[in-house]
Amino acid sequence: MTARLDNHRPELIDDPTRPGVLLASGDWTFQNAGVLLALLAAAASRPDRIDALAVKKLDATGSRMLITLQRNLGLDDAAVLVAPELGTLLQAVRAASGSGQAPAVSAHPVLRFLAAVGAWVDNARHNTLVFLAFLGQTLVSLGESLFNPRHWRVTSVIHHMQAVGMNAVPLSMLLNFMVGAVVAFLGATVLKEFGAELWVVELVGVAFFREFGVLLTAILLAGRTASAFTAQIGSMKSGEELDAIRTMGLDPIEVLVLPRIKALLLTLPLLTFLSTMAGLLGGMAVCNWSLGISPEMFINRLNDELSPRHFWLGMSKAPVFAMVIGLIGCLEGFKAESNAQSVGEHTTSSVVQCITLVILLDALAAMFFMELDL
Amino acid sequence: MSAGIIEVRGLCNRFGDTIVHDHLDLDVRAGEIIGVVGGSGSGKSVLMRSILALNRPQAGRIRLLGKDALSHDPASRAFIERNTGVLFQNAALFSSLTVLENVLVPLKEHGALPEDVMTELAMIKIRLAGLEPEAAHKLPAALSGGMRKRAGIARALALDPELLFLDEPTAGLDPISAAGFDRLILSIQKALGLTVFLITHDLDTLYTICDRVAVIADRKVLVNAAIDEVAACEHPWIREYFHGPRGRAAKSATELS
Repeated sequence: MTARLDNHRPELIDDPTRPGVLLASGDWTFQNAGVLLALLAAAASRPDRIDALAVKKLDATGSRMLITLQRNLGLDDAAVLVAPELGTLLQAVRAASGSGQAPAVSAHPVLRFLAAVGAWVDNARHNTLVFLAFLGQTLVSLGESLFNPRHWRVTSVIHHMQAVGMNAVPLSMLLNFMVGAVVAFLGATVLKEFGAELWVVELVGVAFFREFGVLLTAILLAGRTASAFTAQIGSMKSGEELDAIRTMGLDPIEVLVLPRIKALLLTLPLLTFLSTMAGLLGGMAVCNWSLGISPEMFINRLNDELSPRHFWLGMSKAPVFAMVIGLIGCLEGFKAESNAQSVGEHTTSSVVQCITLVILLDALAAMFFMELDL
Repeated sequence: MSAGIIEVRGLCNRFGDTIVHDHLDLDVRAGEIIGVVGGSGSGKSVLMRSILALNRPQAGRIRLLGKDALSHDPASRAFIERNTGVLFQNAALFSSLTVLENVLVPLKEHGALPEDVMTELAMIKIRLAGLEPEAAHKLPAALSGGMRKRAGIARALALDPELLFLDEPTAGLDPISAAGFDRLILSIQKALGLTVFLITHDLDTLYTICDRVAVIADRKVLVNAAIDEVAACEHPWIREYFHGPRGRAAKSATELS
């Protein structure tokens, strides 16, 4: 057994006794490929025979080296002598190393750049169309299923509500609590200059009712939930599970997309409410400890100074964000191809798109409501 | 010394309450094709995974190419990894790499060779595995099941291993492709002088290419011998397996040819 482990250094020398014969010996194996390459490069003489009878071990790599040497020297196949038990191997490798190389792919860098830009633009157009088509398809399915209780898929919806909503409660509330405290601190620092510390209450209230409560929750869900949707559907697609669903006469949109979107539509407003409360709590805590505004005073002032419309404005955005997150998360999953790389790329893309779109829509909504003087 | 390119002694594998192997022994000789058969769930794949150190057994000794396969010594691990090639059941090709890139992965990892030499060596392996050079630039998703398995073989052969592990190589192939794959395994084994550890359910494969057959049942290797000797055993599972309708058909097919 130990003989197998020993490595004999390969050699290539001119036979001193027979002129015109190149003598190969040692182990011509993958392990010694580096040495073999050096030997091949150094072979200077012009023999008319290669005697490889002394080669102890030969594998496919070594055979290839021997064949390269023979071809470099312009010798024909019969000029290479090997031990009979190694002849089959050499023959097999010779048959496998035909002249047909793997075709190379290359183009001019400028052309490649232009092609990439063109592909990007075309892709963007295509993606927009696909998104709109998917939105339409989902709305139709949603409309149909609303009037058909058999297609509500209550279990699935509740399962997703748990994953999307319940499990996100602690994180979402913690984040909002901390941001609430930060906003209160910032407000206190600026408003102190005017002696208007009491207005911190309005600042925190308006900020959280109108913007932060829903925005922070939506961004959190874009990272947490959209990525999960994409990965789930993407890996189902690569496992041909989507095809299985189709062949059973089921509609993947109804089975996979609708429960997820319904769960988001139901839980995002609830989560937004809890997050807003947590943000207010954070502001209240800072007001109490460092500004001397007691919780009673905080709540009284909120009641007196803030109209409930701020709350409803903020809440009105929750279903829109829920749709965006659900649609993009699922759509990217459907777009994924059946390999790990692609599922990863689409997951990234889904989170990036969701966050961008949520912030963009929020900014548009802010301008819209301002113009309406709401 | 022909005995013991793989030596398994007293192997015990347990998952929770399920005992998969109970003091299992197995010897594989250098240069042979050994077929490992057994019912579903009898622990064939677990045995292969234990030999490849993908799964740590609770007890037992495994020697591979004269080295302790269960040791953590990096030098002997590297030696074993360089000298074993594995074809997993679903080929386990890297889905984001082309066939050529798949075959290049072990070459780049283990050998410091110029790029063009590595490509050339990889192309030889791809051709040896019976694939057309055009397939080299395709992604695994664009290949048929049989071609994927051939690509898997090409990658397993990349480092010129002494030992080739094949997990159900003909499962999921049509009978003609399966027969072609059997011939491929045999020709590669003859040409490269490999030792092949082959897990299979395919009786035709057992009859046509295996030198010896090891039957796993009752958590042990029941017999490990030439196929006729194994088929003559009196164990109920073996009788059922070799003398059921499929077993008889496979046997008569080999006798005819």
